[in-house]
Amino acid sequence: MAIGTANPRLWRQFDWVMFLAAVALLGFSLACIDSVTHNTALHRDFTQQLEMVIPALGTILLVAAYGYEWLRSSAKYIYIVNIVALAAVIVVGHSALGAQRWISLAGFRFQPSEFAKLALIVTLAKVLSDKNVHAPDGVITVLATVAVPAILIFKQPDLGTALVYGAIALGMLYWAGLSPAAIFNMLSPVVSMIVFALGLWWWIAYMFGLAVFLLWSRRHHWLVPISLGGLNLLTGIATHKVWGMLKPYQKQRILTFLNPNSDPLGAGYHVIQSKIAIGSGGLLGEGLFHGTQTQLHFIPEQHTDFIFSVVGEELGFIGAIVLLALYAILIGRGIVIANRAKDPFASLLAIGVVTMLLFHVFVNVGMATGLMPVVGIPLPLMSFGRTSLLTDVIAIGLLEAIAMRQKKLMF
Amino acid sequence: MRVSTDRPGVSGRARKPRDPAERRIRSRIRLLRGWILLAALGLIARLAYLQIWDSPHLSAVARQQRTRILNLASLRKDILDRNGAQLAVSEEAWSVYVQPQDFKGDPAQAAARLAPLLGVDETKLEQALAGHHWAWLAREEDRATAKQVRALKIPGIGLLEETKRVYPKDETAGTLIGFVGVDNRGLAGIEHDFNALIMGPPRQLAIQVDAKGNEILRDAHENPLDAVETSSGAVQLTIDQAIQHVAESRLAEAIQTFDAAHGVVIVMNPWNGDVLAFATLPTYDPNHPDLASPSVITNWGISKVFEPGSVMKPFTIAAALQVGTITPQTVFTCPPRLQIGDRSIGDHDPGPGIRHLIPAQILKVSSNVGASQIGRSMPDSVQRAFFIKFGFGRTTQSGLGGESRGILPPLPWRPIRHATISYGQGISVTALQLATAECALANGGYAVRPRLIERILDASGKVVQTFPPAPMRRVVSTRVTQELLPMLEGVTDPGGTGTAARVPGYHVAGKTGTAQKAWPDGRGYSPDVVSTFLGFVPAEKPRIVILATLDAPQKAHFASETTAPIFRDVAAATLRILGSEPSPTLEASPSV
Repeated sequence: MAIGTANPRLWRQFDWVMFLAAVALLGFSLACIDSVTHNTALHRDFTQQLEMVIPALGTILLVAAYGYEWLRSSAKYIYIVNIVALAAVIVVGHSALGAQRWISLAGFRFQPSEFAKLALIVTLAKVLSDKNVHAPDGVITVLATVAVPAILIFKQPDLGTALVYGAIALGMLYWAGLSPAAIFNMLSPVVSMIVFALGLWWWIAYMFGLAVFLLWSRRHHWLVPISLGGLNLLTGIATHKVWGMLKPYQKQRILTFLNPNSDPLGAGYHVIQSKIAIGSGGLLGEGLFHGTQTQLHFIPEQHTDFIFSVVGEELGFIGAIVLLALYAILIGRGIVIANRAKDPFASLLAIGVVTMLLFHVFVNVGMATGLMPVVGIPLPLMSFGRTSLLTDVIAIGLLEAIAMRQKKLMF
Repeated sequence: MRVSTDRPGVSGRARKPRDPAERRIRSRIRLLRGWILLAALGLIARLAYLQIWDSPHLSAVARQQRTRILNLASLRKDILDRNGAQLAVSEEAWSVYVQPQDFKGDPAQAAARLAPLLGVDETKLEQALAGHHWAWLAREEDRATAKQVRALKIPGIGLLEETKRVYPKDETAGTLIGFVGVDNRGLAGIEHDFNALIMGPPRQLAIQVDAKGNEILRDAHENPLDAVETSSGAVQLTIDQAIQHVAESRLAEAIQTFDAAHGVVIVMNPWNGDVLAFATLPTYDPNHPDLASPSVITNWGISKVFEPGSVMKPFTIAAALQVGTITPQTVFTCPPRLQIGDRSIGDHDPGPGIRHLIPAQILKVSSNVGASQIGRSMPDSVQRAFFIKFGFGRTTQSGLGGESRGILPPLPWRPIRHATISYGQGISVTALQLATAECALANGGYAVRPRLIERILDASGKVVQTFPPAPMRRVVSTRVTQELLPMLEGVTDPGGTGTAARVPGYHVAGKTGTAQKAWPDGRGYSPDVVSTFLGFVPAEKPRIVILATLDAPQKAHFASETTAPIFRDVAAATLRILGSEPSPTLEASPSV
């Protein structure tokens, strides 16, 4: 496989719309980080992010030029390195907020769980393009592939990234041709757990409905409905056990999501302050560098996971819509690229990246606006953080790489 | 447009519409896009709710949580005397505190830097800095010190502006002025009684705070409170601090000389009721109210009542002259003792036998027997009504707190009571009531209301409120005061009881009173007396009414010896301060 730079014709397929959307998002990011951190000690974060812009854009071009074929061949090794890195975090990692997420390598601190998202996408793309997902052994291989890193990340513990894993797996399974009903069947043990938490009678009604559904869709081997039903029964009953396994701060986040005002100065503080900041932005915003809640630092660590509240307050509803529109371009182009990819591996790779970006955007914005529980998920290309920025630009580079090598070249 | 020309799906659909794999893929994309669109609409709806529908409410919450209202009500006006001398001022003061959460430095090092500035022991400072609790490091430091502390820029060391009430004249008018508490509210004296005037309307300042509650400073070195005026004007009293000083020092001397328990000197302008001096001793330094005993904080001159004795006689005579039961020429037969029912009354210095006295002589020798006959020439109800008009038995409405109404016995008066009330026993008054009543005798028969507050000035010195004298009510006619005047002057003439009150160069009108002091339980009289001299000067055109009272003088009892000299000295000094011309008839013959 020749490197793209050596083949100028490849660059005709380079998706400039998507690239410019990413550049615009980086511009948004810099403005917001500057606004939060200027005249505070955290302003070095702005400098750091500024210094990352050129390497980030370079990474997009480099990954795009290098292509994705090598990923197909080295998927197995990527998977192994990923598992080792995640295990290393648990053994020798640095901890922050009661969780170990960081390891130091050659003087750099980074979060392997961010790169692990990409590793999972590559591995799943390989597995799903090789195996038949409709066959039981295919499903089991896929589940096992996802489960090992997911459990390691959950152990860190990083609930947010574990959820991203689940979302990526679902998106890619769907793209690989799994029916919505089959996806529901796979999800049903988790659904069972959530419904059990709502109340016993709800759960009994759910189990009854599930039984009817499984009997009605009796296309499968008789073992399938039996084992699914049993699994639902088990997970439902084990709800309290799983709840007990969560870290106190994770429980608090879920409880706080259900009622933020129960602890307005503690766990609910972030969500309440974020909503206040976004709400006081109004239609047009208070102006960059002029958002009172932002400038008075009512939202701690606002330039990382809660950066959307800066946009909401200082640039208003209009600014937030423009930001979402940029993500819509990114994701829309991503779907087009997935659709036109040369082969199933590339297509799955693209849809994995799209799912990851999509999930990040929805959960992060949902979190900032109080629609979702607070899980530590950064806003792609916006949140401060070198590891997540690098992950995001590699992801976009991959999309470009796939776009440049799509099946029908138009001249 | 490369977006549309690039789309293979468009041509694909035309070419292979029935390819089931292609159809599945297209339906998958449609479904995916549908879900994404739905979720995106959900987010947009949520944003619209927060930023458009709920924005006014959330903005209000934001405003509220970044705004702190400072109550500036504690800014008190200065208290000035009638000439603008400062009696009480609010000085800016800064208190230094440590906030342990923000203080990260080395306690020993910070203590070493702060100790010389604050003048506080270094080890004490170090302890406070090393502690886990918010603590004061120093209270009420001046502006220069505050600036130096601020210049050190030690995180966690804060400055809080306060005001500190300072009384530059220390003990002068201490009891009258009173003091304020830690919350800057008046607790005693004028500071308490006129608190509402001195505080002025409450003012608020809204300042911005950040998430930690720190004030957002306009620039890093300035305190937002610096921009707020620290003086909110002044309350000007009718008191003249020079006269007050004279009254107090002369009174202090007399209390020492005669070993008295208390003393009061009041100097009033009879024409408008202005109180020029109100000295009560013993007093205290309002800068250190914690060192004062409660008995000196209460104003003896308005809260404690005493039987006035003979200083009541002129009021009895004035009433009788007004109703016409006597004339200045009416002669009264005065035996040494007069039997009334089963009791008898006597004069303190009775003549050798039965005397025949006209009212002027009765006053001059202060005959109880004569005064009781004058009183009893009127019905008790008439005499009581006149006393009430003079202001006895009710408060003077001076505005000072804790004023007693005195005890004017209810009707009917038994004959013996009627007799004793006529010469000032069996009736209780306050010192301020006496001085106020005397004003009516001095000004031609009009009752006045004591006035203490002259006016209110704003911070620039402009008059914003005045307190005109209360309208005067006539008590007795000018004829009566004119008939009474020579009688009161006679008291200070040779042979009278008040000769010691004579002021060189002036005619003095007045009356002595040496009253037996009742036991506190009301059963009979103690050996102690209350000695009073009450008079005005110059007699022919009075400028000042002066009351001088000593409670329980031990070395001498009679007012002629104890309080008449106080009157003389205070009157002489006051007339000098006021720049009064000597009485014309006396200029030619200064020695009388």
